[in-house]
Amino acid sequence: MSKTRRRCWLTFEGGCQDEPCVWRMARQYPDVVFDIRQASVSRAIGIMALQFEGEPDRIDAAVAYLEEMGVRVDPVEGGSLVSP
Amino acid sequence: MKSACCLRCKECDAEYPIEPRTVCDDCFGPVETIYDYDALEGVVTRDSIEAGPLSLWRYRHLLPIDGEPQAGMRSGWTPLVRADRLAAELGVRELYIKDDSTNYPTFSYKDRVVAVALTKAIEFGFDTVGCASTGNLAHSVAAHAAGAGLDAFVMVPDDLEEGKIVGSRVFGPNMIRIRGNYDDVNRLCSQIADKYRWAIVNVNLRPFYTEGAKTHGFEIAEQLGWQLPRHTVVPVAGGTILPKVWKAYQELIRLGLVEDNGPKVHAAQAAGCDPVVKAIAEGEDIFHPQKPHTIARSIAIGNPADGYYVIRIVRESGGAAASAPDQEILDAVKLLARTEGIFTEPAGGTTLACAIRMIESGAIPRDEPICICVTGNGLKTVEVMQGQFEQAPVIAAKINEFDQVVEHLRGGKEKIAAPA
Repeated sequence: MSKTRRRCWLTFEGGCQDEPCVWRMARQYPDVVFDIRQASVSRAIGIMALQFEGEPDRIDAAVAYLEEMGVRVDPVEGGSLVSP
Repeated sequence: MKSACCLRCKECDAEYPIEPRTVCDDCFGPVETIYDYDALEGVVTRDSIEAGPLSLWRYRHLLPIDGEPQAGMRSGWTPLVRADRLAAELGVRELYIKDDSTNYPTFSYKDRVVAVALTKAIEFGFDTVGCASTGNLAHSVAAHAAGAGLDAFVMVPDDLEEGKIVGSRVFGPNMIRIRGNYDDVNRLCSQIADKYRWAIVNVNLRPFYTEGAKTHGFEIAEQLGWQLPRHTVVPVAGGTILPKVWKAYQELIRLGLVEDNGPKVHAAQAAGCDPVVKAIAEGEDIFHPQKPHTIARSIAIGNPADGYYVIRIVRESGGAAASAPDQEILDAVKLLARTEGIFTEPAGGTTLACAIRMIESGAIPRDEPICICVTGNGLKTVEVMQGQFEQAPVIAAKINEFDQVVEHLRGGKEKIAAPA
């Protein structure tokens, strides 16, 4: 299967901001490469822009794993779209 | 004349050419349209604007279009009403209502942003446009697309009020009802925008779409005789209009068209969906997304795309924020209708109810000019007003029964002429 990239916003709140969720994901899915593009963390909430790279079903699994830990994962809104 | 020169990331300042793009490739921050103000100085003047059409396109040189406007030729230029009767009720000196409940063609402020987005979609060569909507945006996209001959797909929450569904379908778009709330719809539209080569106005045309909201602010200033109100109270849903009213004020100041009197913008949300108000109250920069639960459905966005910038601008301007519960929102709808003859939807009621709270708390002084932004029309959501009024009396078609009922309604004060 060919590799792909996916860009997501991760929101950490409700307790999971105090847990090392991204580290756990990296241990569980070492074949999913991730790149942190920006992050903002306060005591109550954290937001992180993450780019995943890997096989699509492995990215899906890594995202599902984050969501199981209570992380909200949203797609980054359409980047550049070449007009027809 | 091309006014916009590039798109710039609001977070890291990376620049991009004018293209259908929402976010920065480097940091995923949102991009914003940038203008060459030095080139516009002396070209965009009070006279040049006043010589323009009586529509939002009188400000076309401060909008990101390259050629002639292609949509919304009669949108904008809505009334700014001096609301003396409402002012007397609230105990304030100078109060205005910027009334986009009369906006053309679909009676909400969305006709401004869609006019600009569809013009830009046509310039980019798209033949299909779409949106994620709580109702008003779907109406506007459907109507403007019909008028421009574009294919339209409007995506709405599946529990949208019947009146708002009809208000879109009559224009013949493809309507898709999505199970979930607005935030679920918006999330899907992000994926649609990436997968299909469509112009989703509030996703991949967002930097252009949002610029249309500036015209609400430009009009307030021009209609006040090229002055800024000291206080502007703006509803917050996705967070489009408040930062753009602020940007409009700053552009007019930059171009020397108005004096900088230290305008403050204040945010209004329904208590059942107030992530931005809560963040401002708690001194946070980041808001917590919420599951909306309010009758003000058109502003029930729990994860506002531009919420972060609303928080920043309210603070920067020295403004305040308030939220109001549903019954206060309905009471405000009735108060505005009773005192000024303006029937707004719950979003407008929210803005007024929150303004009242901010006046009573002292956040907005009673002796300074205040402008309240009404962004939608109450006739679209009459069902929320059900149960708000006593049953109207029913009588026989006889004048003596009419006499009795008038006497009852007027508490015996009515003098009834004796029959000749």
